[in-house]
Amino acid sequence: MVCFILGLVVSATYAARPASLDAEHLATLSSRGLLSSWADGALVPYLAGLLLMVVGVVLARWRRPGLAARVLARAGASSPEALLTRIEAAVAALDLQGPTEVASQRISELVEGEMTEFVEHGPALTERLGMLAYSELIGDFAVAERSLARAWSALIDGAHEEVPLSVERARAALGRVRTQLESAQSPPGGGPASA
Amino acid sequence: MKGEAAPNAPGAYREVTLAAMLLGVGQGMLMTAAFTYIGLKLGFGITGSSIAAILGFALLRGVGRGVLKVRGAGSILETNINQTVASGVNTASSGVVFTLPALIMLGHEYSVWVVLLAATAGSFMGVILIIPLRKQMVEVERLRFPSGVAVATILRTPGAGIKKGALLGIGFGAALLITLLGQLGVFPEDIPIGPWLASAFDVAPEGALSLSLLGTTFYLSMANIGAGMLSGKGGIPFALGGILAWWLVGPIAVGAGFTAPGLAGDELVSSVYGQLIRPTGIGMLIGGALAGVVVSLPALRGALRSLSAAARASRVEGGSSEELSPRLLGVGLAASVLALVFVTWVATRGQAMHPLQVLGAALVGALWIALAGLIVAQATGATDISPLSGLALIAVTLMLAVTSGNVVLAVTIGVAVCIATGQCADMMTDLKTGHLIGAVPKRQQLSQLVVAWVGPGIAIGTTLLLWQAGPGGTGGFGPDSVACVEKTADCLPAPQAAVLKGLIEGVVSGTAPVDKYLSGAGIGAALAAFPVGGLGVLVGLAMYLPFSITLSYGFGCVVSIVLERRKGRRFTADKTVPIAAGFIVGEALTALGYTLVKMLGGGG
Repeated sequence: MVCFILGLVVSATYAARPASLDAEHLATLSSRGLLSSWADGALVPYLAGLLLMVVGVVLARWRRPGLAARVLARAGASSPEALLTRIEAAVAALDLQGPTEVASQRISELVEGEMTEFVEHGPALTERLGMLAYSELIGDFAVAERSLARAWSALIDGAHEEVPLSVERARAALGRVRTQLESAQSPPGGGPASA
Repeated sequence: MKGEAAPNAPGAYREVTLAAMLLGVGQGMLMTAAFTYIGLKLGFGITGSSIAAILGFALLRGVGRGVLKVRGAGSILETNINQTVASGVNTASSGVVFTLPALIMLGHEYSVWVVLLAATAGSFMGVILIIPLRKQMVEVERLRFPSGVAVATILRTPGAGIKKGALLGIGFGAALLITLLGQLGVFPEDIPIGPWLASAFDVAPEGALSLSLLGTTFYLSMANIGAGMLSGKGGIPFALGGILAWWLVGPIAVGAGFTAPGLAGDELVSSVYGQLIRPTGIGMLIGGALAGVVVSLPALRGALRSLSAAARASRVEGGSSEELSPRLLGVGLAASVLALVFVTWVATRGQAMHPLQVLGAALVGALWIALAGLIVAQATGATDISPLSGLALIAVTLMLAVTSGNVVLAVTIGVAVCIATGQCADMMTDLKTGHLIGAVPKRQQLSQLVVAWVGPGIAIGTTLLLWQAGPGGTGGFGPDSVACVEKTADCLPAPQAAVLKGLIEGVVSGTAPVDKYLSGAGIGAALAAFPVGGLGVLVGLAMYLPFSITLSYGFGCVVSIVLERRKGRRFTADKTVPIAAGFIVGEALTALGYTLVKMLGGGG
C-alpha cells in the first residue's frame, strides 16, 4: 500500500508538471510540442512513480486471496451459507395472512439486515467462486432482493394478490443461490466439500 | 441467473400506466423548459427525479386514488414509473445548455434539424448503452447512487413508518434552512476553513503551505454531505483523491517550482487547479474508465450472458424477461449510430473529407459516448456527482482533432455526448431506485426509452427561443449579450457554454493540455488495476472537481462510518438513510424554489 501511494503521489505530481516552466514558451507549443516538452522534463520520474504503483497493485493482488474472508471472520460475521439458511427460513416463515405491518416490518428487517450482510461477503465470494460465477450468483440474489422489495411495496399499496407471487419468486431465486453455492463447494466427482 | 419471467401480468399491480406515462411526460416537458432557462442563467443542471416523485404521489395518489377513486392508483411502483419518465425527459436540458449555446454564440452556420437529430440519437444511445450494465453496477458492484436511494426513500414513505418519515422531514427541514440561509448570503457557500487558518497563523500568501491552506474550503451543501452519508465507506477513495490533489500533489508541485513565479493567494490556487490538477484529473477519469472496463470484463461478460440467457428463456417458455432483449438494444444502437453517421456526413459536406474519414469520425463520436456514459454512470453511482460538462469538453476537443477543426460537427457531437451521458446517469439512478422498491427493470427501461426523444426537442426549442428573445431577434444570452453587458435582470450568461466556447477557441489555436490528459490516463489505468472497484474514476473525479466538494462529501462519509461503527448497521438503515435522503431532496427543492421565486420577482 505504501509503495502504491508513494508511486501515485510521484506520478501524479509529474503528470501535472507543465510541459514548459516558461509560460511564454508554453503558450507557443503545439499539441505535439507539449507532449515532447513534457516528456523531456517529467517522463522519467513519472514512469518511476507508475512503476511503483504497478508493484503496489501486484503486491495487493498477491496478498488479497483470503483477505476479505479473514476480515469478515475477524468481525464475527456469519458465513454466506449460514446467512442464506437464515434468509430462506425467514422468507418461508413470512406470515402473509397476518397484519400488513408485521409482514412489511419483517421484510424490511430482512432486506436491510441479513441480506445486506450477505452482500458484504461479495469480495470473499468473488475470491472463492471467480468473478463470472459470482456475478451469476449475485444476479439471482438480486432477484430475491428485488422480489422481496416488490412484496413490501405491494403490501403497503394493498395489492394483496401480488405479495405471494413476489415472495415465491424470492424463494425460488434464493434456491438457485443455494444451488450455486453448494456446487461451488463440491469438487467435480462429488467428493467432500473443500471450502 | 436463469431466464427470469417478469413478476406478474401487467395490470394486476399498477406499475406502467397511461396516467403515469402522460403525467411523467407533462412534468418532464415543463421541467425541461424551466431547467434549460435555469441552466442558461446559473450554469448548473438539475435532476428532476425527486420533484417528480413528490408531485407524482400528490397527483397519482392524491387526485387519482383520493378524488377520482381509481383503485390502487398512485402505487409506489406507478409513481416510480412517473418519476422515471419525467427525469428521462428533463435530463436533456443539461446536455443542451452546456453545449448548444456555444455553437450559437460562436456564430457558425448550422442546421437546427441536424443538431436535433444528433441530440435525439444521443438520447437514445445513452439509455441503450447503459441498460446492459445495470447488473454490473447495481447488482455486482453495488454502487450506491445516493440520489436513487433518496428517491426510493421518498417513494417508500407511505409504509416506512412515522419515525422514518419524521427523520426524512427533519433532514429536509435542515437542508431547507441551511440552503435558504446560504442563498440569502447569511454565510458563504464555501466555508473558508483553510484561509481562516492561513490568516490566523499569518502564513505567507505564496508557497506550498499557502496553497494547501487556501485551497481547503468546505462546501456547505447538505445534498453533498447527504450523498457522502449515503455512500459511507464506499465514498472514501473519492475524498482521499481530493486530499491527494490538494495536500500532496499541489503543494509538492508548488515546492518544485511548477507554477509561474510570483503567483500568490487565490491566483496561485486557481492556477494550480486550472492548469495542473484539473486537466490531470480529466486524463485519470478517461484512463480509469477504460482500464475499468478491461478489469471488469469477466463480470460484464457474465452480465451480458445472463441478459441473453434470460431473453432466450423467455422466448422458449413464453414468459417475459426482466430485461429488455439484447436484440432490441442492438437494433436501437445501430439506428442511433447510423443517425450519428448521417449527422457527420451532413456536417462535413463542404469539407472534402473521404467517406471513410466521415465514418471514422462518427464512430469515434459513438465510442466516446459509450466511454463517457460509463464514466458518468460510475461517478454518479459512487458519488452522485456527474462530470457532464467536462466530458462534453473532451468530446468537442476529440472531434475537433478527428475532423480537422470542424467546429459545427464537434459541438453537434458534443450535444449528443452530453445528452447521452446525462441519460446514462439518470437511467442507472432510476434503476437503482427501482431495485430498492421492487420495480421490473424492463418496464423502467422501456418507459425511459419510449420518451427519450421528447426532451431534446424541448430543450433545443427553449434555447433557440431565448436566443431570439434578444434585441433584433438574436443575442438573447451569453456574456456578450446586451442584457449581460448592461447587467440587467434578464441577463442569461450561459456560463458552461461560455467555457466551452473559450475551449473551442483555445483548441482551434492548439492549446489543449494533451500532455496532462495522456499522463493522467496512465495513472487512471494503474488505479483501476488496484483491487478496489472504480478507484481510477473516483480519484480522477476528485482531482477534476474543486476540493471544497470532495471535502464536504468526505465529511458525510466519515459521519456515516462513525455512526455505523458506534450504533450498528440497523441505525444506518433506520436513521442515517432517511436523514441523508432528506438533505438531498431538501436542498434540491429549496434551491429550485428559491431560484424560481427570485427570477419571477425580477431579482435574477
